[in-house]
Parts: sequence; C-alpha cells; structure tokens
Amino acid sequence: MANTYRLGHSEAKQKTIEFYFNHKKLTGYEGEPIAASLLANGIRTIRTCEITGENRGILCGIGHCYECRAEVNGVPNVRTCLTPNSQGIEVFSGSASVHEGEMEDES
Amino acid sequence: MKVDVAIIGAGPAGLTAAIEIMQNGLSVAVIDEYYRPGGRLLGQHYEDPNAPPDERVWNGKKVAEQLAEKARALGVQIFTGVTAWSVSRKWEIAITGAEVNTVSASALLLATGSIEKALPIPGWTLPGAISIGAAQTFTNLHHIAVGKRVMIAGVDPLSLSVMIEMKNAGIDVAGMALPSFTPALGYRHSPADTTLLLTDVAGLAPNAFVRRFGKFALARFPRLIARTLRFNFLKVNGVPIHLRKSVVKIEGEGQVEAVLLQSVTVDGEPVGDVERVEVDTVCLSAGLYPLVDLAQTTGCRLVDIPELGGTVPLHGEDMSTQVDGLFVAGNITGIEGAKVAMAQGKLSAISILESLGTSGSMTVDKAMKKVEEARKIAPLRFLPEIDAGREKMNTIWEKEGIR
Amino acid sequence: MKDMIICRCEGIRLSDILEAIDEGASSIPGIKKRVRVGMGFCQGRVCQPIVRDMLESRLGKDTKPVLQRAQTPVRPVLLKDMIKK
Repeated sequence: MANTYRLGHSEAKQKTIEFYFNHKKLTGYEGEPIAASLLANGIRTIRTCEITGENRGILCGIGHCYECRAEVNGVPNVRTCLTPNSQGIEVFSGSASVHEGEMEDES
Repeated sequence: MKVDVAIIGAGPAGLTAAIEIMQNGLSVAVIDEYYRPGGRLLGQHYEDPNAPPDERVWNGKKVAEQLAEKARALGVQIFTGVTAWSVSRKWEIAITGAEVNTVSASALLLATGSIEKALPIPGWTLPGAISIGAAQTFTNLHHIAVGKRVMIAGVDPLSLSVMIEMKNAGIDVAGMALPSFTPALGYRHSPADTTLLLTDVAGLAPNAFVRRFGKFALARFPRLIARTLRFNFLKVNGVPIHLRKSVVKIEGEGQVEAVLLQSVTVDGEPVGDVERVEVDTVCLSAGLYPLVDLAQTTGCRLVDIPELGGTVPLHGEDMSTQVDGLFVAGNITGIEGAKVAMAQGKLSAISILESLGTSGSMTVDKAMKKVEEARKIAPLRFLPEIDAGREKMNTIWEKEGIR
Repeated sequence: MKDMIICRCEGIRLSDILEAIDEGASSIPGIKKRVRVGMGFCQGRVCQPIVRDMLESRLGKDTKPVLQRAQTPVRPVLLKDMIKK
C-alpha cells in the first residue's frame, strides 16, 4: 500500500481497511486513529480554518486542541486523532456548514 | 450507571487506583477520551539505567496494556473514547460517547493528567508543525513517521528523549534548537536556562551530556557551559543540538517547508545571520501543565505553584481535596513521571477506600512513603524544583486546606 | 512576528492581544472579552498559557493575572447528548 510514512516495526499484524478523505479512496489500519491513517498517506492538511482560511492539521495528537477535527460519516467536528478508523468511513475537511454550502453551489 | 468510585483518566494514576480500589471490594468505572487506555504511558519508550535489570527498558505501551488487562479482569468498567464533560456534586459525571449518559459515584478521582504548553513561533499554525507529544505518540504508538525531515524547537528532557526515539525509529532529525526569543510573549529560553534544565537528562541515557560534563558540572556552571558550547559542538545520537541557535520562523506554502535558525547570545538575544534549513516537520516543545478544568468546575480551590508546572488543585499529601469525596492523582497535581503517577494513584485509592469506611492493601502513611521513593528514583525530572513545589503545596494545605 | 496567530481557534493575533493589554486588560477574562481569545473549540487550553506569559511580562512577574474559569461543558458536546442527560 501507499502508506509511505509507516515505520517498519509494527508488531501485531493489522487489518488493512479502505476509507475516504474528501472523496479520495485511501488505505489505513483498522482501529488506528483516522489522523494516523491520514498521516501514513502523507496527508497533513486536514481542514482549513473557518476564520483565517489557512490550512490546519495535527497539533497535539491527543484530543486537546481540536485542530484535526473533520466531518466523519456526517458528524461534524470529530477529533480525528481520537477516533478509530474503520472500513468505509467517509472523512471530509471543514465544518458541516461549509460542506452544505459547497453542495448548494453545485445545485 | 452507579459505582462506588468514578475515575476520570485511564493513565498510570487512574488505572493503578482502579486496581487497588477494585481489589479491596468497591466498584469502579474509569472514563477516558482516548480510544485506548494508558494515557501518556502509551507513547513512552526509553531506557532507565537506574531501574532494576528487568525493568531497564521502560515500554509504556506494554505497561498500559498490563494495567488495563488487570483492571478489566478484576471487573473495572473502562470507558474509552468517552468524554466526561461535566461533574456535579456527590457525584454525577455526564459523559458522551458511551451507551450510558451518566456515571454516579460516592467518590470521584480526577486523574486527568497534563496538556502540552503551546510554543508560538511565526508559522506554527502550518500543517507539519506539531507538538513534541504528538511526535512521541505517532512514533512509538502508531509507528508512523511524522515527516521525512524533522527539526525540534525546544531543548528539554522530553524533547531530547523523543528525539532519541525518533532516531531509533529511523526518522531523519535535522537538529534541535531553542525556540525564538520573543519579549512580547514573556518567554526566555536562553542557552543558560536550557542547560540548567538539562541537568537531569544526564541520568537518562548514555549520551554526550554525561560524557562531556556529567551531572555535577551541568548543575554548577550552566552559563559557563552555554558559553563554551559553540555551534554544532554538541551532538546526541548524531543529531546536532543547537544550544546557541533558535528557530525564529517556520516557512512554507500551505505546509511546513523550512525553518529559519538564528544564533543567540548566552542570554538568548538573537544575533547574527539567519540560516534556512529545509524540513517538512517541526516539533514544538514547551513542557506540560496540569489539566484542571474539571477540578475547577467542582469548586475545588486551585493554587498556582510554578514549581509543579502551573495551577493545580489544592490537595493534601494523601491526595484528598477540600471538596468532600473529591481526590486527585497523577500529573493534575504536578508534572512528574509515570512511576510517581502510579504511586500517587495507589495512594489516592487507599485514601478513597478509607473515606468510604474500608481500607486498602497498605496504610496511607506507607503509601505516601512509596510516592516519595518513586520520586527519588525517577529517571528524569521534568521540573527541576519539583520537591520545593510539593513542599509549598503541603505548607498551604496544612495552613488553609484541611477541612 | 506581530501578526503571528496566538489563539488558533479564533484566529487571534499577537497584535490583537497586545492592543487589548494596552487598552487596559489585566486579566485573561479581560482579554477574552475584548478579542475572543480562548473562546473557540479548545476553550483556551492551547492559548491561555501563552496569554498568561504575555500578561506577566507586561504587568510584571509579581502580578498574578486572573485566569479563565473553566465552565461546563468542559468540552464541546452535541445538544442531543446534553438533552439525553
């Protein structure tokens, strides 16, 4: 798989799953945080800041800072660093409102 | 859900407390936001030359798994991926992320640990600029490289040990340097201060610090040593430690592409040329501070003791607080290592058992001594004045705290 | 340097906070009321220690600035979860 950032010595055999980030199909390990799967795929920008428009990604990695939040299976503002990945999960950058706005533009 | 004791935080303190309480006949629920139990243990992996031979390699993840397994086998209910968002008196804990919405208990132990201090450097919001704790978690727990080439801003016991862990995992660490000197922020990470902070790291690993200076010299002559340290003079595990340079800016289009380093004087004033180092990742390290928000909502009095790492709940040496039925243990009481947290967890459990009319596996006095012993043999100190901090807390407690 | 973001959640910059202090803010709630620092998702967990350092360096080490008071809910919670309780 294209997880070029995986370090060699992962002890237990882990189950590979497919998930989606902004519609793009990626692979990760079942049960690892979504943020870990994204980073394994070299993805650093998880969302853009609603106020400044800048890219944002992982900062604290343990749920305190909320910088890695994303929409996961329709639920907005989920902390991807705390949320285990699983088969078929759909992850979107940005808040639910931004996402709805995008859909309006399309219609 | 109703239990005798609710514990918030499934780190070394919370899990150790849960085991002790359960072993002495009371029921326990432990609540933690992370998706697996262990807290900061999960990222820890280092060598402790002072430990007994079979404990020399400290594999925090394994310790966490053993503690959680033991707790579960005893019947402790561990809620992971569950957020405790409110606690009200006597005790009702509102939670989200579980089948149940509240846990009620006769006693509450807050073992919420600590959180990293932010390190603002121009460009620190760029993706690729992450905290040193995140780097530790991704390296040791998830086995994912945080980047292809890494610069560490902030030279302290934690960042040094994470640097060694990243190197061991095969990650290219370009170097470590001080954070920029910014008067507006009230920061002062001068080479002299930093050298003093590193005194205790000398005991952590066989590295250049020990060989060159040893503990004694570092403690005694920090300014002298800082002056002696020329650029690239010091290397640890092949990584240059720039004690006379600081990261003044993080650059990149949309994500980290480089850092700018500038030389500083012994007192931390920037002087001289700026040098650009291409990296895709910057780890920011500014230390930890106790996470006290839930304690604050209970009405527990907080006291500011910088030697303990910041504002902490007022508590006695037995881990009780002024609030009836509220106890604390672990890094919420001051920043120390996992073994101290475990000893504090056990002590708090024994105090809780006694407050509920029963007793633990040893007396409170004995358990307090065990905390002292753990502190004495701790492999590294995150805060050099921790003993003075503990003493301050005891003095305030004796004067104003005891109910 | 002055346009460096300090409160990442609300996009508050160093200059905004320095202005608030110059306007007379001498506590963290005082700065918060003026510029929304610490009012975002993380509720000041990231920026409060920085703002505190700034206040101490401006007002002098002996002045202990009043800190932000944690409030329930201590984490963002979905309304449906609050109602369930």
